[in-house]
Amino acid sequence: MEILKQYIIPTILYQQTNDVIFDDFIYYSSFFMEFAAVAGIILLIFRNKPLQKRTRPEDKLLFIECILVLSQNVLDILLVPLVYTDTDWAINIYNFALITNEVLYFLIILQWLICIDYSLHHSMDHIRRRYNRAAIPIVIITALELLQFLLVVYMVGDNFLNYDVLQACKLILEFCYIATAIYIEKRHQKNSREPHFMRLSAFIIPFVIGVLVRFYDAPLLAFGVIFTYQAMKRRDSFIDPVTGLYNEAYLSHLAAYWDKKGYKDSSAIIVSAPGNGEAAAQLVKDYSIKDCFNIALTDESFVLLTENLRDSAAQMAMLLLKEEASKSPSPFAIDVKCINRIEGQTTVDFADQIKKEAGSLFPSHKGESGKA
Amino acid sequence: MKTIDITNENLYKYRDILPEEYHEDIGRQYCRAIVGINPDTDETDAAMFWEIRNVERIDSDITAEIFWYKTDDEGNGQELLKSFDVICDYDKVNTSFFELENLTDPEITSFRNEGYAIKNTEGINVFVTVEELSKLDIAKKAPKKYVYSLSDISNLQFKQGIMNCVFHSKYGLLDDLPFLPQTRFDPDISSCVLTDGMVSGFLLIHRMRQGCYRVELLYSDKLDAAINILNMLRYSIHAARDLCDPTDKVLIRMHNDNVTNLMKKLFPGKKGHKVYRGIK
Repeated sequence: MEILKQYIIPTILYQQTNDVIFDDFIYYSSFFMEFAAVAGIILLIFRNKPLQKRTRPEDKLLFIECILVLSQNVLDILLVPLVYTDTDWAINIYNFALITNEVLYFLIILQWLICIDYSLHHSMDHIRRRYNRAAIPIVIITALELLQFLLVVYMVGDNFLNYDVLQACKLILEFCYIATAIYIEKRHQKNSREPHFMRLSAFIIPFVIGVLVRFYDAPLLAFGVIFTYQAMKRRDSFIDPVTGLYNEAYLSHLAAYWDKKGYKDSSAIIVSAPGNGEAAAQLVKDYSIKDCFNIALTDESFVLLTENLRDSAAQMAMLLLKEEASKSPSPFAIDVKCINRIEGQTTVDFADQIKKEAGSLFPSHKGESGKA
Repeated sequence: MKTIDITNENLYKYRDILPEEYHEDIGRQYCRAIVGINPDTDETDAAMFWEIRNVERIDSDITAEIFWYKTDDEGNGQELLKSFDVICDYDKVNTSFFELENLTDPEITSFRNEGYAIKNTEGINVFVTVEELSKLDIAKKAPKKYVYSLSDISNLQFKQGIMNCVFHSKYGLLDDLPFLPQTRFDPDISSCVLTDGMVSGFLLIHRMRQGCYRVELLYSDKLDAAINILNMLRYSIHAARDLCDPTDKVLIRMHNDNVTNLMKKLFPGKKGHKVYRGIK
């Protein structure tokens, strides 16, 4: 209880304890951690081409997150000299900078939530629709703090907001964003057959430590972002760089995951377009269906793996793909075949069957131009 | 009595006999219509229309639902029902049933004589008027901007949307959904949700006849499903209010638990009409 009152509560509330050694340790270590965080984020950006090119929406969202985290840590570093000055202007700038820091903190957590949601559902419209008002609580709290700050600066009034209540409101808002991310991830786990790459703990653990020791919050958020990106990179290892679809290794990974989960039904639509791999890949991407996995087995053969399809659904898909291939600006012919997993067959065996069937579609096109 | 299949080629001969709402269904993969003709007088002695269901489902029996049946004489009716049984055997139908209002005595007798167990009960078809729909709480707010009518989307987007539905095994009332054209559905009252340029939800409404519509598919992707369905309902109700007569009817068929629960929420206490339900 004594330790709680003397050390933990002050560090949560961004206050000093009365232990000089402890306070100095926290202060100087947080300073070095902020430098490390800045270096870590800059390295993350410069060593990862997807983050530099930002062609995919998830890379753009993560880049924004990196910039927010970088800004917060740089701001914290720049505030250090101001701590040692006693002038009024320095104190006012310091207090204003703290408010800015808080806003950045909220935005980092919100942006992380958005990154998680996008990486699970891959829909920018969904992000726009769901999060168009998510920043309103941040705006309200910030507006109140700014108003209070201005009243105090111009000596028009005193603090009208209770500091502890304000801190509690901020903490509740932060936990609401975290809880939302956990809820979204759990619901996705329940509804989707997709293997899980995201590790929410990679961000949540640093976040919780940062809440307990507020002086570390900025650098720990940076480390959380770096760890989250490592999880995304693991999924990227299954993406074919040429087509942007999942690669053959993902088919094996997915099959093993489905067997582990006990999913018994599946169908595969195999698309083969010798000589027209790029166009066929684009066709498959244009007709991507939610919860259907589009995999590039080779540069010219692809598979759409999904739950059990009725004959009419498979027929429709095959007809539509062939029709669209023939109507494209440079028409091309494709071979399409649907196979269903038979009862008692494991998904791993089914995946092997898919690879064999995809290979057998090639011989019929040998020697042909492949164009309609 | 001579039994003749009604097809697209000979429909013109039987337009006056077959109710208007079934004309468009002639030629559909799972719809059948037959008429019994008196060989001496060439008059129609009996006629019926039915739809077979669950042909592709391995977890359900194939069923035939009789949607319309007409005869003035129980003998002729029974003969037609025998022809119906032959066609059902060919289609591998396990169970045939009906829910029909206003059956005449000869019609009831002919069904009973052919082995149908008949009882009076509340039907699963519920009719609501456009006026009743307009008064719902959900209709008070405007729908979101990402909900569109069918006329606002291309045929390609429609097909992509249907493919999305059938890939999730959502066929609504239409087992042959993948093969139906966009023109089957009312272009202004039917609605869809566009997400990232693709259709992620449909509310498809078919105009059966003047002043009567039927909801045939209500589906949305799991992501934001509840809010999308709510907004599609809003859009379609607003469109119906603007374009239809307040007394126009909308038929909602409570064919599964989801629809039944939705109807209980929107129209608590609303029930289907009294019908004769028969099963064999």
